[in-house]
Parts: sequence; structure tokens; C-alpha cells
Amino acid sequence: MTRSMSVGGSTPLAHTALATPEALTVLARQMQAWLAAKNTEAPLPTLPSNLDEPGTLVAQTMLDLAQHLRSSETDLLLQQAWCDEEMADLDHVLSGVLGEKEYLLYSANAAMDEFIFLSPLARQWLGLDQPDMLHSPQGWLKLVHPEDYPAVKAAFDGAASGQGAELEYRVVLPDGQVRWHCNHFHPVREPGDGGVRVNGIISDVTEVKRREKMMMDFAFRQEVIFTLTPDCFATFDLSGNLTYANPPFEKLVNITIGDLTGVGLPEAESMLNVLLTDKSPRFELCRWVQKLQQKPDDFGFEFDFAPMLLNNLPVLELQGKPNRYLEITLFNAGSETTATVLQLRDITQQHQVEMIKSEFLSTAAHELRTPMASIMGFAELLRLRDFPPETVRDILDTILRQSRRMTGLLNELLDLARIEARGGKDIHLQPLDLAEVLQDSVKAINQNDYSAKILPAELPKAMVNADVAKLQQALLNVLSNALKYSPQGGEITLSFDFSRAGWVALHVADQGIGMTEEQLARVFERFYRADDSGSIPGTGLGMSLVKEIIELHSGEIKLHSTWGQGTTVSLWLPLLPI
Amino acid sequence: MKTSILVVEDQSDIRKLINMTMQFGNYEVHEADHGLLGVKMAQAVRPSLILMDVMMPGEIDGLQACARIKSDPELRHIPIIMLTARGQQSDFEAGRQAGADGYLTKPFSPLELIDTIEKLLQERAAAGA
Repeated sequence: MTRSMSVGGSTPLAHTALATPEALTVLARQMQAWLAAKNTEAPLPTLPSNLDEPGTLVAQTMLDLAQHLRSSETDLLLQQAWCDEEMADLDHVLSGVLGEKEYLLYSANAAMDEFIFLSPLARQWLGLDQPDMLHSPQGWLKLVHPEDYPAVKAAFDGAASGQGAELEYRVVLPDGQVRWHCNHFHPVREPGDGGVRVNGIISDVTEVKRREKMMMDFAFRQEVIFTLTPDCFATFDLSGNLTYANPPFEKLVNITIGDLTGVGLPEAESMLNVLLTDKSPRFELCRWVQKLQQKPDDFGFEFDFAPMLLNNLPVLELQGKPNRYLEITLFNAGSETTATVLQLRDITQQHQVEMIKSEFLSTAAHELRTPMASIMGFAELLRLRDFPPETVRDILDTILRQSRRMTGLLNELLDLARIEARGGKDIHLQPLDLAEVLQDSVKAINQNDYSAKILPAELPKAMVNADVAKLQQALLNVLSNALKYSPQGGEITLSFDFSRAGWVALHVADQGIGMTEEQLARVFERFYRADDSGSIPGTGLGMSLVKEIIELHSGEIKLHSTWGQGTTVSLWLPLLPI
Repeated sequence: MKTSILVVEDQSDIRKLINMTMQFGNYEVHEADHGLLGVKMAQAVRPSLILMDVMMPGEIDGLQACARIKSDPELRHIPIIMLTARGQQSDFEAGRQAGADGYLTKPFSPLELIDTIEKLLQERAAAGA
């Protein structure tokens, strides 16, 4: 704290050389005596008895006195000061304690249009040369910021009718500087005949206002950030009571901040635990906070947050539809009201992607290892033992069949991966007649392998923008599915649908085994097989691939199925404008 | 007397492979193509050892079938070797929890299969003696 301690007046007090501790002691004693002589009602700060000893807290004593003067005491003194001498005395004391740039003392007549007393500092303090402004408080009004003017004017006018006031307003100084003033004045009745004068003190509160605004801006910014962040934050004080929770946290625990404030660690712990699924790890806030506080408080050579953080905590699973996953971080902030910061981050999406990826990998590995088990096992058997020729032939057939199955799987996996990774960058679109591509696909399938039959269809021209190889692959998958899943035979009908303007749909309807609603919902899952008996060959990737290809063509795929009655696959594609 | 082995596996080619492999020794192989049938056959046949596939379609998978057999006081002494094509650490853990005694990852060599079976049977014989 730096306060100017030089004094410009001519009293003994003001002449004291203030730089030495001895001088400060003298000043403190004089002030105490002066205040005591004023006989005010407010209790005076007591001076330490060891004031004379070198090194006592003289500065602190001075500060106490200054505080005393600033608050109720100044107020009382202002109300009591009657003559110019008293004001001048007060002025000197204040300038000695508070510093000359901090305040301005004045005394004016009731109409506030003439100064009776004005601190000698006024001229340099306000930077005024205009005599009218140094002449009366009303003259000052010219300096008041236009936005604040009406309120100040009203208050000044009120002084005449005995109204005191404490006002904060902006003034625009002649050099263009804007400063905040706090003007505190009291109308005082003269003893005896009852005339009225106004005693006032003005302090420059520009710095206070600047800090206030900075704090408000800061608080506002923090508030906005902590409201908008998807992360949940809560802070706890040193004794473990909740001091703050941001809106996402409220939403998470579904309790308003008002009800949360003051909640202790054990309570917060159980509050969150009831929200977790049975298989989720527990939320052990108390234990973790204890662990965090036991961490060495040594930051080492470079500043590092690691000792203050606890972030290798288990991921919590929160009940919901679907269940959500929360990553926990605890931070030892060390302040009294914000001793511990708890951060909960929703990592559901990341978690799901990881689960899907790992599930896909392990399923893919399973699907590839299964044919490989036959291929390797039988090949090794052939080397280990002599079998009769017909058994050898049978084993070789099995190896060949399983090798084909594996090749098909690898191809479809690669197709899928390529489409997903390339995102359609290697698609070659050209105007094609869907009817023509369909007829080619029908011809490419050897229908003799199946008991069902694709009925010949006369289909009109339907021009679409498509990649011929990919479209054919999709159609072949849909057609072979229709054949495969009609083991009892039946007819497969192909038809076009132009009911939606600008679109064509190819309906492939079979009379096969159909699917239940649950099966239908899972058709596009990787490796999902509606047939789990193993009697219908397939990889479980075909429909995933069809979906990817159709969506790559800005199309849509729709499925209708009734268990035991058959399935209709509809591929919707945008028509080329004619 | 032949040692009886029960194979519970949905893939017919793998069942055939195991069947042919077991012809190297003095084994009699029984087959089941889904978990529920596997449990029933274990009760009926009382085999000396069971080979159980983990991922099988149907009402119960290999892990559940294994757990059911292991919870039956009459059957729980029968060693069970799980066959899996997934081969992840979590699968081994799940197998252990279901009470499995051994693990074989597909693809496996016929010699490895015989080795695993014989070792397990010898251990049991030593423990029993």
C-alpha cells in the first residue's frame, strides 16, 4: 500500500517529517489526541502501549486511525464542524493520514452556490483554473458527466432543504480525463441563530470503480464460460463444504445451486452415487479429496500442475437413456473458499466410439479366425496323417470353401473400410439407367443355386447419377439376400416406384423367411446375421455395405419385413433431371 | 476303454476337424451344436472332458453353458476347455469366471489341441489319485 504522507499545510502536525518511524509515532499520538479532543461518540482506536519502541506496528496504527477517519468518524466530524478553522484542522489531519490525492474537503452555503471553505488542494486536485468552479459546488456541476448530471443536480438542490447525500458520479476534467467521485455531504445547522451550511468530503474513487468494473467483467466472463461449458464444475472450501456449482452440474444432479451450497463432501458423494448404474465404479469423493490433499506440495523446479491434480480416476457410468460416461478430475486449488475443484466431463461419445471400435475389431477378428481355424487345422491334419482319398478330397473341399468365405469377408471388410475412410472420394458418378444396371445384376447371379426365382420384369428407364461398379455391388447384395433368405423357394418381384417427385425406388420383394422387429433393427450392424442357425451363408456385412453405397449416392434404404412372410428392400435414388 | 470328449460348437467344419483330430488317440467324440444341447449332453454322457465354443447362437452361449455345467454338483468336476476366436484378455477373464479350466484360441493346431486335452486329463488323474 503506498500512500503519500507529505503534508502541505502549516500545522505542527503537517510539518512533521513523516518518513521516520519516530515521526509516525508522533503523528499517531497527535491524531489520537486531536480525535479525543473532538469528543466524538464513536470509539477511538487504541494506540499500542509500546508505540515508542522501535519497530512497533506504527504503520498499522496509522492505518487504523485512517480507517476510523474515513468511516463513521469523518461523517460525525463533518456533521460537527462548524467554523472554517475546524474544517481546516480536519483537512490537515486527513491530508496527513490519507494522502492529498485521496480526498477534498469543502464547506458551502445551503444553496450550494458559494464555498465557505475549500481544501487548498482543490486547485491541483481538480486541475481547475476556472474561478467559477472554485467558487461554488454548483459551478462543479459543469464538470459532471451528462448522464450523471440530473441525479447530482437534484442532490445539490436538496441540500437547501436539509437533505444530506452520498453520491457517486463521473466528472470530466478540463483535460478530458474522466474520473469517478464520491461526494458525501451533510447540511449542518449553525449553533445559536440556526443558519445552515453544508460540509462535504469528496473522494476520488476512480481506481475503486475501475477495480469494481474489472471484477464485474471478470465475474461475468467466468459466469458465461462456466454456464456454457458442457463440463460440470463444483468447488469445495477447506472444510469440505460446497461453495459453487455451475449450471451443468446442477443439471447433472438435478438440484438447484441454492440447495447445493453448503453441502458437504459425503453428501455430495452420495448425491452422485445414486445417479450411477449398478456396474459403475463408485464415486469416492471423500477418499479422493483426502488423497489429493496428501500429495506433496512441491512443484519442483518448473511449475507443474501434476501434484495438484487427481485425474487417473475411474470413469463413472451414469444412469440414463442411453447411459452416460463421466470422466472425473479433482484439482487442489488451495484457497480457503475454493480448496478443491471437482470437474466432471461427459465422455459418452468418445466412450461409445471406443466401444464400437473395439467391438468391431474383436468381431472382425472372430469372423476371420473362424474360417482360418478350419483351413489351418485341416491342412495340418493332412500333413500329420494319411487319409483315404475320398476323405482327403472332402477335407480339401472344406479348406477351399472356408478360404472362399474368408476371401469374401476380407473383400467386404475392405470395401466397407474404403468407403468409410474415403468418404466417397473415389466414387465415379455417371448417368446410368437403373433398369439396365438391375438387369445386368440379375443376369450375374446364378439363380440355379437357389430355390427361389427372380421374376422377369419390364422396367421403364430410370436415369440416375451413379457409380456403375458400386451400384451393381449393392444390387447384387440385395438380390442375393432375397434369394438366400427364401430357402423354401418363392418369387422375388422387382418394381420401380416414382411416387416421390424426383426420386425412383427399386423395390425388391421376396417371400422368404422375413425378419422379426428386433432382427430388422439390427440389419445394418456390422457382422449381424439374421440367420443364426448357420444354414444360410453370409458375412453379416452385406447390408452394411448396401447402406453405405446407397447413402454415397445421396439415396435412402428402407426395409419392410414380416417374420415368416418375406422382406421388401426399397432403394431410393434421386432421378437425374430430364 | 475310450475317453469320451464332448464338443459343443456351432460350426460343423470345426466339429469335423476336432472329431478327426481325436482319432489320433483313444477318444470317443460326442457333438452338440448349441449351448443348451451341450448342457443336456453333458448330463447324459458324463464325458471326461468338454470342448466348448464361446460364441454360439441360440438361447445360451458357451460361457453360460460352461457356468451351468460348473454349477451342477454332478458335473462340475468335468474339465472344460473354452474355444474362442476372439482371444482378448477380457474373454479369458470371462472364461475363468464362468469356471473354465483351459483356453484354446482359434485357429489352433490339432497337435496343440491333443496336447492341451491330455495335459488337463493327466492333471485330473494325478489330483484324483
